[in-house]
Amino acid sequence: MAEPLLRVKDLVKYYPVRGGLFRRELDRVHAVDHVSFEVGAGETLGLVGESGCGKSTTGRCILRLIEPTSGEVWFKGTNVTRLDPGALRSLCRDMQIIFQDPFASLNPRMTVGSIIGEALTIHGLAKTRQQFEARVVQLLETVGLDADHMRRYPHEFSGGQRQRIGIARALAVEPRLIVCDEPVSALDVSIQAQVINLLEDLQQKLGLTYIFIAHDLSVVEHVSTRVAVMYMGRIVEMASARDLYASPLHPYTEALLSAVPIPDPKAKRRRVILKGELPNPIRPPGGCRFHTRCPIRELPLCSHEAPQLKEVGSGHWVACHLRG
Amino acid sequence: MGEPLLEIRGLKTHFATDDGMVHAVDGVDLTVHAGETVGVVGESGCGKTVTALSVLKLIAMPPGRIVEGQILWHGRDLVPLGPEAMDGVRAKEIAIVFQEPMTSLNPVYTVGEQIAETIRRHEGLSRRAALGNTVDMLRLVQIPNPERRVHDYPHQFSGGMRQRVMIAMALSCSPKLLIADEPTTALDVTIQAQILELIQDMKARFGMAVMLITHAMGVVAETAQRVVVMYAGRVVEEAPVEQLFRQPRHPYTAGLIRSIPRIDTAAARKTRLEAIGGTVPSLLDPPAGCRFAPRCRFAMATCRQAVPPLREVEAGHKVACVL
Repeated sequence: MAEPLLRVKDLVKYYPVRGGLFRRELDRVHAVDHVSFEVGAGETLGLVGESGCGKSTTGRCILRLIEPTSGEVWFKGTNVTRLDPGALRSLCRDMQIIFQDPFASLNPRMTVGSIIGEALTIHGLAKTRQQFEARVVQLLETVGLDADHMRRYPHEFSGGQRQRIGIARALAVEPRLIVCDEPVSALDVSIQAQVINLLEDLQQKLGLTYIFIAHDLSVVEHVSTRVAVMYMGRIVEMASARDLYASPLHPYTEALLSAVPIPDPKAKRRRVILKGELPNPIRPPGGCRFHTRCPIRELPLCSHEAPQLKEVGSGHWVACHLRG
Repeated sequence: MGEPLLEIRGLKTHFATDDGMVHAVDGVDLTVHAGETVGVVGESGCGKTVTALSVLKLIAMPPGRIVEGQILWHGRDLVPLGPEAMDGVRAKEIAIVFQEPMTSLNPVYTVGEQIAETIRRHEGLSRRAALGNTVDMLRLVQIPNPERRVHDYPHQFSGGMRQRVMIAMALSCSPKLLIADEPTTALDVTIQAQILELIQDMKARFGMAVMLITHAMGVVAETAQRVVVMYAGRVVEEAPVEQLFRQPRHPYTAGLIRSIPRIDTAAARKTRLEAIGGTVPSLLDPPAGCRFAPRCRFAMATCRQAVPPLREVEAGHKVACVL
């Protein structure tokens, strides 16, 4: 990989748990705990994991929609975490986000045209009314909507169409990187495929880079070049999509993959059903955070020492004492 | 195959709204035999949940109304039954597990009280005996420490555990049919695998039939013996599970199967997903003829004129398509 477009180093986000008199900080939720990765230009990095693993928080910290507690995010040689508000705003031209919920992420009182065009005004990308409208029409057509949709309101559209509006809004400023935060999770399968295909076409046409956050492993496998698996705020395994799915190393990845139902009744396979549930993120287990549910753990090693993310094959990283 | 336990014939459930009549379920035929698992699949708004709620008559009436059709339970029609007669059917004969384990439990009662209420009401047991049964049920659905957990409130349980509580409640009166309405949709994959396994175990143990409602083809492929595919309020195809996936006859079913990324084969070769164009039609004013016709690649003039009836093309394989 050449010089990466984005480099995340030791990203940490703790949420304080407050209570008692004077709302003292009683505890911390370890949402993202020392996460590091790189994303090359033009590739798609998939971030997968179950609810609460920190994948969305990671995505939002990159854009500073959530302020990280510590760590660095480098985008094209700039440390994003150090930028003042003005510089951050101009950086927003390069990094955009698409949200999960196509119902909550569009302002119901704005027309589709003004939703998509708002960023054009903010960044001064359209000098005249004609330029503005021409660009909005162009964006609508890029995502497969019609020019006359411009004057309508979000509630007049279906979930899939709204997600297209969200994509058009993200594209308005010609970004290099788009964080896709569960972009198809709220959609029906037949519509899901339409949106995935659209995202893939746009990537080819515009040379976009994606960070694709999702809990659906089949979708992530389909769209990603590389995939990082997160568990309780940490990356446990990272590899090319092909390697990860063909030869997962971390026992959590194995369990996660084997739990995905396959739409083929003849497919018979060995299923690893994990015992128990996610531990409390306020008091995560010591050592490897997965050791409480791990089928291959070796005590006391796994409960005492946190395994580091190590490269075991070319580009295949894993954080496990036993499989590392 | 045994005799039909549940037989739905030409069910139509409509809802009156300000914008007009919504034809949520519009002529559904569906049969469940004793001891089998029937998967009902379809996308949001296809009428799968309304069909299930109609069976238990849990539809708010008004605005909803069962306009036409019969729901035969052991040959007895449930549609004309009053609330008291339905009480005898619910829980003891047919039980249901809902999608949202968060909202389907009452937050101000302990889970024990809620399960015990079901048992006392339907089995006429004393408070103490019902509590004992409740603990047994919780143990059966593998909730650790059932003696203690029985006194906990729903918010003290995780999503997966709440769904186990719901299953315990549904099974507490040994029903002959369990309707599971998207039981794992709100859960993570590893927890989903646990819950699906639990339902399979319980099915074997109680010898009940299961009607599994889901939008996930993968879940159906792994759990059901027979699959019913619904689209816009109607059944478009019905077949044994292997046959449906090997040779889907309806263009909608075929499209649905091809539009999902496959985790097992895709690693070898990346292919473009085959999306189904367009969107689901409005049920306020459903298109005449086949409801899938506006999105169908093979649609002909005849498709738009008359509704194709569900007909048997092979033993056990029915399809509603002129092709």
